[in-house]
Amino acid sequence: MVLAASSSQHIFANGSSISPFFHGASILHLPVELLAMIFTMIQSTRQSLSAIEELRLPTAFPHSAASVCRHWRSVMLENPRLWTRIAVFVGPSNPTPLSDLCTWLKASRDLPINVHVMRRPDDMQITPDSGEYERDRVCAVVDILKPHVLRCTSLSFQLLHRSSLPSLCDDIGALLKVRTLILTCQDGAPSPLDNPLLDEANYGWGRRLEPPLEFPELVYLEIDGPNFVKVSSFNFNWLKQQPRNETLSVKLSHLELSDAEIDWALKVLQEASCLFLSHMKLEDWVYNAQRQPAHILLRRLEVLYVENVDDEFLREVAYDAWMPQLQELGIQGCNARGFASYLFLPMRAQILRLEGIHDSHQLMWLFMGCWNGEALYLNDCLGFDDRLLDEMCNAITSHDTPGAAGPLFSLDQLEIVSCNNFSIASLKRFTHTVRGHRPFPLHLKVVGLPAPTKEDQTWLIDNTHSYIWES
Amino acid sequence: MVLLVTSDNEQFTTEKDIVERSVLIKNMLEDVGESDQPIPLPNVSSSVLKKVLEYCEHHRGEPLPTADSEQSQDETRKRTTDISEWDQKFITVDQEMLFEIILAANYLDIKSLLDVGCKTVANMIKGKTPEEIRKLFNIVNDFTPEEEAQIKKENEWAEDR
Repeated sequence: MVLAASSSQHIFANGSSISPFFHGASILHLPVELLAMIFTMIQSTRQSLSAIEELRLPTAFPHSAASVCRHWRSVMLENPRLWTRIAVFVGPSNPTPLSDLCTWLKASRDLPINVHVMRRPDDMQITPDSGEYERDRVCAVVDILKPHVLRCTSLSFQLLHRSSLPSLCDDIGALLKVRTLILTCQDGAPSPLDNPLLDEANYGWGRRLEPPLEFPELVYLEIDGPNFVKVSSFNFNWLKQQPRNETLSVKLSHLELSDAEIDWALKVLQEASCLFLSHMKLEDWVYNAQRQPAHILLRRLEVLYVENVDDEFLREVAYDAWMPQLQELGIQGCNARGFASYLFLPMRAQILRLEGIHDSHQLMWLFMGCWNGEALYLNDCLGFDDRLLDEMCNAITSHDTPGAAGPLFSLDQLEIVSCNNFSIASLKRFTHTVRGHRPFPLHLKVVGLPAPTKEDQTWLIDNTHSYIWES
Repeated sequence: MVLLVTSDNEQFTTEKDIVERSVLIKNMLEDVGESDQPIPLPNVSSSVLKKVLEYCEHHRGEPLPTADSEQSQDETRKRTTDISEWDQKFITVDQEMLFEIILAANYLDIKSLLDVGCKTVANMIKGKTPEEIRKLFNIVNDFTPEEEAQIKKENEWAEDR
């Protein structure tokens, strides 16, 4: 097929009228179909690089190109595929005009859409009235979006204030096509402006919504605590849509629960393969001598990350949950010892990622007590010090029985990033111990520390399987 | 051999399998059958045809897109704006020539060349602000004051809620 070779009427920036068809050609001479094809190419490649961060840039396509001139804008509005990814900025500095949002939604016709509601990176200041502004803006955006939510394959609200988050139940409802759903805020502290629809009084225990709250295509979920609890109160099985042939990743943040509610929350989360718990608190803990440990089976869970979770909450997760498939565990800014000491069953995670743990006792407890995986990644852990390295050496040598799998027996890969509380001498001693008592020498990587002497480098190269040091 | 005549009356003699990468010329040759008649190309200048033939000669022998493969090629085209090394060097020309090649490829129906040209323009647009795009292609911002005012009004409405 030859695309139509029609010319369009344009005015050049230098004021001259349009040139003859094939002489002195410029982009202004391209027929509409070719221009549309170029725009489609840009859109498609951008989607393959898709990142919400990219949408925040002033160069974000298609908005940048649609602002060039009226002709380009009209060509683009005639091509619905270009408007399937919509970015809406809701901060006070240069917010997306609501009329533009209406235009883009109309231009996307009935195609599936990805909608991202967010702040610009230079528009993240919290001021006395920023919460109210953002909330009003989000309300207006949600009103416009409502008739289109069933077309959403991706819907994200990444906001500054918790009070701006819409209620998934009341403001949005079932999302039958959504694969990615994000409802998060930077400031998760409760505020008097919080959405009253997310109050406990409005939970729907035992009630049904029509149409039912279902998300059958969901594979990635980031959700705040109040929304998680409210949706779960209407449909306990909302994450349990069947058949599930794909893995489900869930990031849950800013949630306060009682110990009884933790059981309930973990059961809702049973479908998750990857679970990220952030900023969680346990309130009103009551000791119960009758409770059974590890009674909740997280049968699909392969990756668990916990970040800024209080000791009690972490302890309850460790005590209640059985995670037989766990491959990777990440602990950031939490009491690792609490987790390790309450694990009822041995931890099978082969990969352990620790960040921001500054107490060497916590690390020691974890390494010696319950973990015997292959790869250890430490980032900004001041607790990783000479004393800990000595203890790790002792643990290895004291279990030096052929065939016995003592602590750190399987350790194959050690990566240390920005941990500046240990000496090269201790690291060498540990490396030497591993080499002498384990089947294979270490893969060692150190980042963010001053380079060792040439002599030390040579020694480390000779005594490790692989060695990388990035200052 | 096939004789082509450009808009500025220059004649080019070339081999059939080279020039048949153009679906337009291929169809014309099939229509007229064996003939020594020159094929007029009133929409292509000699400088552009020279470049087009250079492209066709380099890609001579490569399979031409068929109707069946068109859809999958469209999908591939949409997914990437990568251009092979030779094509990239070939299309490194001034803007005027670039757009003339695109227009000629469209007229002559040489899909792969049209792709290379359009991908090049797509790469030029990507990552630029509206003002940078206008400057690059010499385009006037012709939004009316009413359109600008509409946007401003919308913002004021939102602030007043």
